[in-house]
Amino acid sequence: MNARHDAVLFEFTSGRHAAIGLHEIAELVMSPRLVPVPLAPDYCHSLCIWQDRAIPFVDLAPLIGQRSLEKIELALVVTYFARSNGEQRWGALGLSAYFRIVSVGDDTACPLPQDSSAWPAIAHSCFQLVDENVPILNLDALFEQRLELIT
Amino acid sequence: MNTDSAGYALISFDGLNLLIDQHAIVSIENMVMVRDGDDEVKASEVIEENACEVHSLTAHLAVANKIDARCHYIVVVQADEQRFGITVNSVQSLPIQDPKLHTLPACMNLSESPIKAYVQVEERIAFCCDVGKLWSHINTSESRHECKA
Repeated sequence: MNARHDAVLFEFTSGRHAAIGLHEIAELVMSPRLVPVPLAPDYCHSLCIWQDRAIPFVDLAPLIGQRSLEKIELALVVTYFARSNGEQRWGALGLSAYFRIVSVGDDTACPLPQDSSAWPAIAHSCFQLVDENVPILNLDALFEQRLELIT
Repeated sequence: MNTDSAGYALISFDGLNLLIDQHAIVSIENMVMVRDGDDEVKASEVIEENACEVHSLTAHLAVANKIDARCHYIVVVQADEQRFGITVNSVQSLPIQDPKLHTLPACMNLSESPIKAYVQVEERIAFCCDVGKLWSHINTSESRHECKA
């Protein structure tokens, strides 16, 4: 039986997409307020101020060797439970366009993209959408560890 | 994580707010001491009565290749055996009681970084800075990119 699940598909840089579970969305923020963190890695260079919290902001483009978004107009606030202690946490993802919800079947499972060594560390799995392999992010892994960027 | 507000000073430069241990501050000098009579001041200067290097840093903690003439003060700090100065726009005691320090999220926490935590100060975010690690960072080649204040 081919099970299907709803996923949130978003573009993080021109023509490149990633996905998260529908239950992991908290809010789409337009013109997010970002505070750069000195010496932080390129892919998570800022804190995003959201509902009086300062949450980590992640831009996936540097993970595949592309430049960071020049102007960040959209941030998708996401939530997850930290594996270490079960605590609920929030983070923000940089988007280059509005997200959409897609239905993903088990029969679309495919290998992770080969353009970054980071994907195996931050993705649960991957599905094929037209001719693109779309990683499904593991938010705990993305926000709760520092990645070595080898592209 | 809670801390004693009397223990921190808030310094600002290039749009960055840093909290440093008040006890690490040796003196606060007026910028005129390095600006007098020299328009081509280099990043490393000497304060006559308190000899030490003075640096201007960018918001990314890179060492600027020129002293930032927009700054008004030099905060001289002692880090272990090393004394050095940083040019700043302002320096003040932390203006809130019982600030709550938050550890940086794991994804942006570098072991060698002098920045380990932040605190919300009114509308601003200020980053807690270890002056010993800041001195180590200033002396790494990575901090000395070609950048202008």
